[in-house]
Amino acid sequence: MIKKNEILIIYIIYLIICFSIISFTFKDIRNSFPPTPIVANQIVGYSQYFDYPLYFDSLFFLVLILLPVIFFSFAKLFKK
Amino acid sequence: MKKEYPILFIVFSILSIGNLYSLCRGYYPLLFDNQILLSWQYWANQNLIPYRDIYYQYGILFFYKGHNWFFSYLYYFLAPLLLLYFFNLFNKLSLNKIYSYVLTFSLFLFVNLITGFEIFIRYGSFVVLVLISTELIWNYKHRLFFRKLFIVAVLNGLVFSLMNDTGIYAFVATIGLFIIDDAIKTCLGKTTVKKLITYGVGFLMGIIPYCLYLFLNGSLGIFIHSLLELSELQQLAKTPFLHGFVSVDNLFTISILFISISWVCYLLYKGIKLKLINYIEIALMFVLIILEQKSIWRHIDSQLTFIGFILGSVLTIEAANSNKTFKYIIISIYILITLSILFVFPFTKININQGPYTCVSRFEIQDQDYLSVKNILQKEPGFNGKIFSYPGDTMFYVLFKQKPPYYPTSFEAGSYNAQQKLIRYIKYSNIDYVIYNYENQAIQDGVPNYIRSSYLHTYILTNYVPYKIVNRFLILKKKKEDFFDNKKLLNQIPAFEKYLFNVDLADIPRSEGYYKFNKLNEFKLKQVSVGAKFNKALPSINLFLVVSYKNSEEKLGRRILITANGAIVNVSFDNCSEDSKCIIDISKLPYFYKNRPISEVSMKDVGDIKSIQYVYIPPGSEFW
Repeated sequence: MIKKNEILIIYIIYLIICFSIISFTFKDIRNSFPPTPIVANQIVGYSQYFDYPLYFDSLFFLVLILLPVIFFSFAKLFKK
Repeated sequence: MKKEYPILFIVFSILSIGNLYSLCRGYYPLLFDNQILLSWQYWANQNLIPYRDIYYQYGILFFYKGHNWFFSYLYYFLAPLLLLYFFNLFNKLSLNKIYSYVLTFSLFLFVNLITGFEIFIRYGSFVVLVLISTELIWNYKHRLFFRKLFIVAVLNGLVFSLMNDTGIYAFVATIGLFIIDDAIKTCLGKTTVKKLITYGVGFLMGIIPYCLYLFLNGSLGIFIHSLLELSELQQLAKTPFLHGFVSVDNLFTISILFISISWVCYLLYKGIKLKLINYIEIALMFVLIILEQKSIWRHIDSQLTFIGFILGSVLTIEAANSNKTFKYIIISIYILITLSILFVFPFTKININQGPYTCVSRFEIQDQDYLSVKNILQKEPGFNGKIFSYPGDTMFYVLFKQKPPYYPTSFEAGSYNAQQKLIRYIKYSNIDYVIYNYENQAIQDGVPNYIRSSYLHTYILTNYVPYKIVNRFLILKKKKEDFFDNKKLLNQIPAFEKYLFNVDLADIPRSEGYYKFNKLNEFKLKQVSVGAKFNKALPSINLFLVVSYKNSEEKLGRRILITANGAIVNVSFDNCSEDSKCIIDISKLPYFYKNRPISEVSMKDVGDIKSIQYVYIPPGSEFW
């Protein structure tokens, strides 16, 4: 049985590893997105002009907020 | 009702009296954004109807506040009402009433000193609506549940009528919470559908008065259109979120959100039954996640800190409730952190209602740059009093007391249809003079105006010619001559001349080549002899250049020089990969808005460019 302090320590280590992976692969992930398409008759804004991936930030944010959910889901699974 | 509530309401009303005072304050200095806000206020004052006469996406509460007594007082009393709700909530959650007072007054200070009442009313209403629904969900087994739910839905509909985006967010969040709650309780089914139908019907009932208002003003159809258009603007006018990710404001909100998610996950992991306070935390997390999505498209990080602060307050209550030994230490730490946020840490303060202007004087423009343009134009023989401001000095419409176009600036008119609407406005209003702010070369996000509003820019430069320079404004007069013929005047503003002849297309040619190169198969491509003159000059109309690259690690930008009529246009753009090509539409370059004979195409540095081809593509194609 994992104790309260132990799970906290494991959680912090997990977060450090996750954040390290994200920060080291950040540029590679960003550059792997294709150019932002320009649809005739629509706005040409920052994303299209400077080629900033439209959904990159949403993906990044989703990954970030899902980190605790993933960790505790696995922890619960292993606990069983 | 508890006896202290009326007293507290009066106290909060007195404390937020500054909000009533700021109703009539102007938005100064006259920056681009402030001009729009101030001119919207002016048009409300002139009884223009939002959605029919002008594009106004913030809802009628903000449009009519300061002009209509009903909306002014409603706006003013919303802040004390929201604060009263938070007091009531903290009171329910905490074991000690003093905590509720401490937390509510901390929130008031936070709103008053940092967030500002305008933002608090806008997003605070969203938070409160969702929290009311959450409390209902918590008391699901109450016999009057569905009746109460219906009332909340009607309230949501009424809020939508006043603040459109707030109402939509609240609707989406509440529906989402119903589904999440039933999913957690593993009872997704008929009851969920009944809840959703009740909420949907209530919401529709709530928006009936607003629909009637829109219908009677002949703006119901265009309102629905503007709602759809709003989502397009958000999606396609995106700015990077991660560049501002490490701002103090954003880190504060994200950290609290992250801690809350971790905490609730931990409770679920331990199998602890969730309490009302945890439901409130989940609701606030949900609100923050939705609003962070908005922030991902257009930065509103500094506007969200107060929700992070409320979530932090709820976490503090939970900590104080569960640890009775250290409860005073926890509350003391909370007070210390609050004081630090308010007076030590550099949180962004949002105070848009600045300036010493009163209700009477706020539309008296004293800026000499604007006044001198007005004075000069009024002396022009035959001047019909109508102008068009490009790209977006809306103050001129106020100065000339002119009904503005539906989209007051070119920023809002980014889509093709919106630009066409502005062109129609110019045509049908018989506008002889365009006031072109030549210093404002990119109205928003660093995207040049000739890119963001290329159709409108083309129309202006092909129908108007430079006439006079007044401060930072180039006055253009309607004439059939060539825009670039008045070299004498253009030479006086070399930065503007450079802007028109040195065109940076950035990543557009790469994107066009990546997605649309296959569409070139049906056209005949011809080779360009780079650096050599064409035997016969090429007409520029409908002309596209296709640039191919060799295999190269080099990722430098490229430059192509196009010579026509002795003038050289310098086109720069970002590199394309070996697999794809760059496609450049020549008629999108300001000098080639009119057809001109191109005598030569050359390059500044050949580098990894393999070849350049040209092709004629008729208008109406899928190319930008």
